[in-house]
Amino acid sequence: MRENGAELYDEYGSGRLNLRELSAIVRSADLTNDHGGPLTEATISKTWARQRQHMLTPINVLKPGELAPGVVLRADEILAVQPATAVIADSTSPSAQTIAGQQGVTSQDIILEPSKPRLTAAEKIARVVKRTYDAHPQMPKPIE
Amino acid sequence: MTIKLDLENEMSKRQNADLTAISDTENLILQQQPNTHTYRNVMSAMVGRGQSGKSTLQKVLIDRASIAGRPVVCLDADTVNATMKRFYPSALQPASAAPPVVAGFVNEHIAKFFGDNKSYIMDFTGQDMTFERALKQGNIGKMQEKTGKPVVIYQLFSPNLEHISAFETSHRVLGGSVKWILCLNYGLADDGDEIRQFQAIRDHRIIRAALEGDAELVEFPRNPLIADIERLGLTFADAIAGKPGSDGTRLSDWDITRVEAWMEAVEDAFKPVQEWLL
Repeated sequence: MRENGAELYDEYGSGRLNLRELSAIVRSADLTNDHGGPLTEATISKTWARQRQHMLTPINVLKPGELAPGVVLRADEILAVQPATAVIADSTSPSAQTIAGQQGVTSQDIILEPSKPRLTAAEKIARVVKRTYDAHPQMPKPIE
Repeated sequence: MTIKLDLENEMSKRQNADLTAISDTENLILQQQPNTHTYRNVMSAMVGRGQSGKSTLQKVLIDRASIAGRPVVCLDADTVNATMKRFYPSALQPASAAPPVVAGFVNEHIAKFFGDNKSYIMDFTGQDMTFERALKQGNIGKMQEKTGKPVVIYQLFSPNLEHISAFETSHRVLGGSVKWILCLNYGLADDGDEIRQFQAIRDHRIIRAALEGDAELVEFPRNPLIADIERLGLTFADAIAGKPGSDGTRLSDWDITRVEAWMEAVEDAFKPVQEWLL
């Protein structure tokens, strides 16, 4: 079933499979369980349920921090991108006290971001200002 | 990412790509191709006052995703000015401009995003709080954690301090439950005077408070040809590909290089938030 999952999904993706029909096919093919014994109706039903769940589960949804097959990080990205962790902002945690806690983040707030050093507001602003100076000449300040 | 090289390969295949029509097979193939960027499916929305550059930023994000072959569902919930629909005909719109219909449209697609395998981007009328209200109706933090899919809100600023009030309202409603990316639109400041003219914005207590949290700050570089490209009715990807505009003319080869340089400047400016982009 796994090897022909795509064809099965095309025909039975909605799950509306006639189990009696499947059972008849299984028996006519002389399929057995791992011990060589006959397959019970319960086994056939459960096997189909597992296959259906497998077919209905998205196969290309990335978990936080997971890379898609074939994705290659550049050297600078390996440092920048760490596996994402979901952090429930807790006003008692040290990090939350310095950042989320100061913002009054409630227990329902979920911060979903890769694990990397957090910058302060001043550092974030300085980063933008520096990049602007580097990339784009600014007019001289007026003489006061 | 070398934008020019990717465009030569991709835009020859994707003329006015219908971004919602990408098949699951294509999607899987694209994800299996070696790529120098990681990405995850993201829901993005632009908020801010009118004429703050939301549409321009949208086009950049959509076009860069399109170039990289990443499927994006475009949702045009701007009931006043359907800019997104004009540039991306495959964008979906609510059935009418009636607030309950728009709200239903937004909620419908928030649900689809979390069950889908594509990124979504929404456009709203300036100062429209429909998105914020919709997110507040449920536990958006829980959904992000459960699915690993973030919701990212881009707040654009001009040097005008009046733009702060709209952000303050939105940020008060949602707080840290979504990812905020604050964008200083340098195209709305005088050329060469961006740092000085945006100082009041950078120094504002509301901005600083947000940045002390999880909000990020980036500059949105000026596009010297924005007026020409909009007059031609082109997306940035189409402009770079040399496509003719609505009047049959196209950008000169020299101007194309200027737009390419701008796209690369935007890519560089948004590097700190790259993992949150479409």
